[in-house]
Amino acid sequence: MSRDEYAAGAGTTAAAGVAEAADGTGNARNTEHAVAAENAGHAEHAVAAESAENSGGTDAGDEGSRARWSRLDPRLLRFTLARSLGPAAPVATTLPFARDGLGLQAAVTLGVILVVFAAIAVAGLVRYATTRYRVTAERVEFRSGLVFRRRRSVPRDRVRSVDLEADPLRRFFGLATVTIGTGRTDDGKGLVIDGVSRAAARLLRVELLGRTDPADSVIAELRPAWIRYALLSSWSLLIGLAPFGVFFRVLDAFGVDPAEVGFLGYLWSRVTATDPFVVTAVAVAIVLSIGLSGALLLYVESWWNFRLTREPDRAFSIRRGLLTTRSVTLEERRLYGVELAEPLPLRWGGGARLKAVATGLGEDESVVLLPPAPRAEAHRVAGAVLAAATPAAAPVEKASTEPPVEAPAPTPVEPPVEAVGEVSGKASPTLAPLAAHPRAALRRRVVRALWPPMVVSAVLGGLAAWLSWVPGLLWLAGPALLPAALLLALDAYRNLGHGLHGPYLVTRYGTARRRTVALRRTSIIGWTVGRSPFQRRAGLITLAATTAAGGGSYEVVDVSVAEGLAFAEESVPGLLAPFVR
Amino acid sequence: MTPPEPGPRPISSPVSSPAPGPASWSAASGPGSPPGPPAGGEPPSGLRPPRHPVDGRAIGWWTGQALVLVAPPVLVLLLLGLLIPPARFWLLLPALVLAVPGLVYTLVMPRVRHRVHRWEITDDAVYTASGWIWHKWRVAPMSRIQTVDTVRGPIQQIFGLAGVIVTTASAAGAIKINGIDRVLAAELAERLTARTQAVPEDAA
Repeated sequence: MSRDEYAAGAGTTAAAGVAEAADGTGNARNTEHAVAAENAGHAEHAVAAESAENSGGTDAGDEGSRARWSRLDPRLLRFTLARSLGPAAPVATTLPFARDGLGLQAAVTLGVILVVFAAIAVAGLVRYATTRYRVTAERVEFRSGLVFRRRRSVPRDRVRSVDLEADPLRRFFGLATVTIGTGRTDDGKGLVIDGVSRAAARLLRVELLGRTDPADSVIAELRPAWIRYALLSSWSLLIGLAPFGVFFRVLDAFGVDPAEVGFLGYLWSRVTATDPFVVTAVAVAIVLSIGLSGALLLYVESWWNFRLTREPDRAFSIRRGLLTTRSVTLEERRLYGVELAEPLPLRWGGGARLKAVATGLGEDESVVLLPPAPRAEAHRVAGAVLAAATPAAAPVEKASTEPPVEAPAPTPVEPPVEAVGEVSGKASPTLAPLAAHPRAALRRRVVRALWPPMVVSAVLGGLAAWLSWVPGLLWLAGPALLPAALLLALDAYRNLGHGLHGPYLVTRYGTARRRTVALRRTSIIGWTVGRSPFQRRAGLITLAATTAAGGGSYEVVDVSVAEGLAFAEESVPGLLAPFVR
Repeated sequence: MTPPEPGPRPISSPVSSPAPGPASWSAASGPGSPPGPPAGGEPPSGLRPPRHPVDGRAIGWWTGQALVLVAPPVLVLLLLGLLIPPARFWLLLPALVLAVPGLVYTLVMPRVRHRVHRWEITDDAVYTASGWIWHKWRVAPMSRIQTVDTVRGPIQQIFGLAGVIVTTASAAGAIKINGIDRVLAAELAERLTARTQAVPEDAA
């Protein structure tokens, strides 16, 4: 491959292809992009396009839309080598020297590692050599693979999102991963093009979404002071313990007995000689300091430069990340609601997080609208986002923002919801006053809170009676837990609530993680009424609204039968009524 | 299996009326099903039970399912207990511990389910009741139905039964009408498909 070909591969963006079709003779002139050069590589692209059309036949009939196939960025080669050979090199160099000192197990482990790295490198080279993509007037086409050939073709009017991501190594080489989503949940992650230059990635997004780069109105931006909420992360403990787990895993993988490692043995002898309380305190301090600094770093890495903006063509854009930069686009019409989450530590610290309740995301994916931030800010963003996404409140005109190509991009406009005016510009639905649930719900929570202290008492009491070295007063730990358990039960009850706020259904529940969900009523596609034997005695039901968005259903927990059914009817008139007697 | 008599019948009318010809749907319940007991499992006072019970043969089907779950471990433990005399006590004890609740489950669950499980299809919605300890009532409007499938598991086939699975766009799971006569199931699926095509799909 010559240097010139590289340049052509990098510079030939799909946009150029649409503007001026290759005529198959290699004479196509690219007027829009100065980077693209006319050279040997150019003819190759044109030929590739030609042959694909002859064989695939998908484009038969749209003569005007032939676009050149683009390759991935050549820097992908260097990236692949760096990623696989980089870590493998030290291993490979140590192998001959350490040959005598290695056990069979360690040698096999290292050998497997080397083989895996080599395989990754080869796979990367094959991927670079075989991947082509192009954007025609009607569709995005992608083909890749040597043994397993994949061809994918996505109609352009189905493209719902174009997300860019770049991890640190890719950023170093100026590469990005483009994920073209169609908003269909059964489509996996959508069409992923991994290894284009960042400029090409941005151009792809502009072309497919018809969007000029800079964001238009900023809804929320990270403020440095918010980093204090990272300290309230529920992950701290796990992060603090993780390094130790990894350390011992590695020792285990190489067949090393921890007792043989010099400094560990020394440490152990010191530990056994010290007062257990001091040891515990030091251990807790170490784990906590690792955990908290880890949580801080994670927060900075994930949320650095966080910006939630509203784009002109009815979409939200979220950009974030320090080392790995991520950029996500969420169409307003995919947003059915928001979920305000307050894990207990964060709630004590007056913070909250905000997630989108949206369609077209995978099972475990979620679009975070706001990282842990002050609660008032979360409510403000919830209100702003929902006001923007409420169909009638959004500007209706959209023709001007359409891409210049004649690709049909129908944007089905949802029928306006009644009582729309209530929401726009006013307080967020997540702040709506909610109806409290019946006292029976409190009773259920108190009964549930009584169980753990009783079980703890019984187990510890039993242990004390059975084993002489367990202190006999240990069973008192159970009753000591009781006040906390009762307080949590009361909190859980007070958190329960439901209500309607204009076009949104609002429900709140949970104590360890309180959630407040605002769900657009027109997005409710069914009801599930559930009842356990205990609920039956208490005259309660759990009402779940099913929806295409987010988790699939959102619950109104422990509501009285009459109230729940009336609420369902009020939320979506006529759906449940025929089945109520 | 005795196929039920009803021939193809047009769905009453595209006008939204909550109750379609109830006679038409109930006539299709098939001769194999006993007259459904009245209120199955008493739903919450405000919610009426769906109109049609599942087939009486469903008791046999659920019993079969319970046996498939319970019998193998118990039988294996019993067999080993008989073959290995020294460990007999420690093999027969867990066998007993498994067998007693298993037997209760096998006997009780199918009968309770048969009282609870009911279904109804109106011009506008599918409505089902299910569960035996935890009860569930589900409603999905016709306009949001995406696919209608029929399923026949191996044990269902033995009893000449089938199920209809109605999916919507929600990730919360499909609505299932299981344990109905297989001819009825096929017919229901056909009519549901026709009906969902007639009703314009809502956006979203």
